[in-house]
Amino acid sequence: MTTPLLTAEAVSKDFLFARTIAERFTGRPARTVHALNGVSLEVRRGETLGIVGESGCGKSTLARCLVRLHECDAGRVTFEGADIAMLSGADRRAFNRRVQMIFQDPYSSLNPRMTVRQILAEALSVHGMVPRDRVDDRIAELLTLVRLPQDAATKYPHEFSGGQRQRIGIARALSVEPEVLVADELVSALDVSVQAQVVNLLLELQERLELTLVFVAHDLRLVRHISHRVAVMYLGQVVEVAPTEELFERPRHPYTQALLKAAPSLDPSTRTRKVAAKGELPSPSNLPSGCLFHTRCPHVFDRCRSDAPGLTSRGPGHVAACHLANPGIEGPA
Amino acid sequence: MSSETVLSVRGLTASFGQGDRKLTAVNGVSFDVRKGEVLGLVGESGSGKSVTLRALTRLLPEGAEVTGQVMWRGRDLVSLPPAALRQVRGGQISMIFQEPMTALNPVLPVRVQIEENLRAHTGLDAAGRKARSRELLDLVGIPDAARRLNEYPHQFSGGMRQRVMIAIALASDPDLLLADEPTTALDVTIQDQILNLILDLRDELGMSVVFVTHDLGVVAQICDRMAVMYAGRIAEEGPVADVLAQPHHAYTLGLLGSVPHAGGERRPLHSIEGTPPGLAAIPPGCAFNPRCGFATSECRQTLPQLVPSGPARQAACHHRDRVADETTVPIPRAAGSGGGR
Repeated sequence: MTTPLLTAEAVSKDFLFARTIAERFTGRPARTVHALNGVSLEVRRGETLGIVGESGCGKSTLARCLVRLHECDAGRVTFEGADIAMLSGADRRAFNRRVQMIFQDPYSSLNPRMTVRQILAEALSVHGMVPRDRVDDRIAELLTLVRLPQDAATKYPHEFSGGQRQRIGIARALSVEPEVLVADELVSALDVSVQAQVVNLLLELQERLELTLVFVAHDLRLVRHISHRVAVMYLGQVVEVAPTEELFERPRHPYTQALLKAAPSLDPSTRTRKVAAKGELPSPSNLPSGCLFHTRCPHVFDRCRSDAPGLTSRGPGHVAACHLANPGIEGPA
Repeated sequence: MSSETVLSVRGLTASFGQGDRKLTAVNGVSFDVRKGEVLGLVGESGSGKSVTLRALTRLLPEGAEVTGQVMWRGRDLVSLPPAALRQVRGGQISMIFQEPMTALNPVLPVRVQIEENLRAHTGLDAAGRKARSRELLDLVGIPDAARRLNEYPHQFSGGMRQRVMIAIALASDPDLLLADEPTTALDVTIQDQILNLILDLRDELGMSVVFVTHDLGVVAQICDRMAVMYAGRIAEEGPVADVLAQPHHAYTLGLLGSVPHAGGERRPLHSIEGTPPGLAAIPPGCAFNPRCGFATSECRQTLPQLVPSGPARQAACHHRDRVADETTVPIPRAAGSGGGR
């Protein structure tokens, strides 16, 4: 339960804009979006690691780096101790099979011209999971597993609702018997009542198949519900990691505190009229100096503008990147 | 409850298409909005909440048919001639939308778009309009208003665009603001800022707000009363704290159970079976019956009416007493109703 299975070590990823003519003439470098700035994380066998953050924080880029859909610019991602960028041939194929990704948009991640049988059979045959005469049986099993009717196999993706399409995506990922599932905003596009069905399915499958799960989402309630540990990201950095209960009860980073406070609670008695975080996300192509959150932080002091804080321990399994040992939740007097 | 009713909606129905292909998106919806109150219209996609909002000022595409009554200052907006309606729309009643990027004109600086509304609904001269546009940007919390007035929508962030849209809506000093999921596309910290802004403006200007959302958390945080919609009808209506504490309609109960609560980590959510019905196949009787464990033969045959079910509350459920006593929706026995999978 505690051995790291998949780790990110100081992973950075930049995306370059195409160079404009003006930049070419003046010799200035092309503008760059710094999507990940030195992210270190470990995913332990059998756990659910939630990754939360607002749009542009790099959580989807990190998810894609973890499954090697992006190559890291600096740092490395390891799976069972081996650098995944170094894998080739059979090793790489094995990695691709054992670590699967499910995408956010159930409308664009399934080929509209393939039936569900073709979609699932493709995954099965690429990795040679079952002999050809067993393919139909396996597809039937998979459909049962994600609770889709058997006649789904002959239909096309457009014939299904959003929730059912996400189930097809899950079935496709599970068809190759992976050990790790990386789910990027799996249920964000779904209605609340359908979200709950998919979340229940995911929890059940994780238990039955002993899956390790990386659950990337912006919905704090959902992440709290399904994760064992949670990592909070801001502008391409991990600012806090802690066991779920600890993170939600005792957040130590001012950004985590603001995020939790801004998330609308279901309890009308907790209403406040104080804005949780002022200002907006700085541009990821022009990052602030020092602590990346200092432009919005209520506790900011001189050191924050010059020194970038590293992740330091705040308790068992709890790390946060803040110069203050224990920033108060209400802000300075 | 003592404050006056500013908007009174009775039997509002909106349908699209003709003959056999006619689809009714909103069916006999009635509610009141009081002065200075925030009314939340909640529901999942396809429940008719946005169409209801747009039908109030007949902002629906051509071919849509709106019937019923929308009483505003002694006039029925449903039967008002177009010219008179245009005075109300964007004037006394303003609207903000979910996607500020598509609601704003991308080729005009925001100053022109704010002044457009001022020209239509106020008597200000050019200099007055210019000064007022600047005031409005200040009011909605856009820093450096004088410079930003000359910028185009693409130069603003999502949160700032939504502020621009609110500034345009406020230009005419509206008495009622219709908000269609204005924060759904925004991040939580920005959503929090915009929600607080809307509440501050409500307090300062004494507006009423009808707020359409799918997020029960947003309703819990900013609305005074809420109406839950399902398949084009209001399922339940009442003060937010009361409805959330003890739903009187099985759908509301199921919706609440679908949202993760603190303390229930990693346990199955009390989800509702199936999916909401399409407009072309709304089940007879109570539209929720195929997904509802409380359902009896009465529910499959008779449409429940929205009737009083407690102080300031109404619910359209045959089994409201049983629902009120339960904390979860039982799973319906596999009946041959075929409502969902």
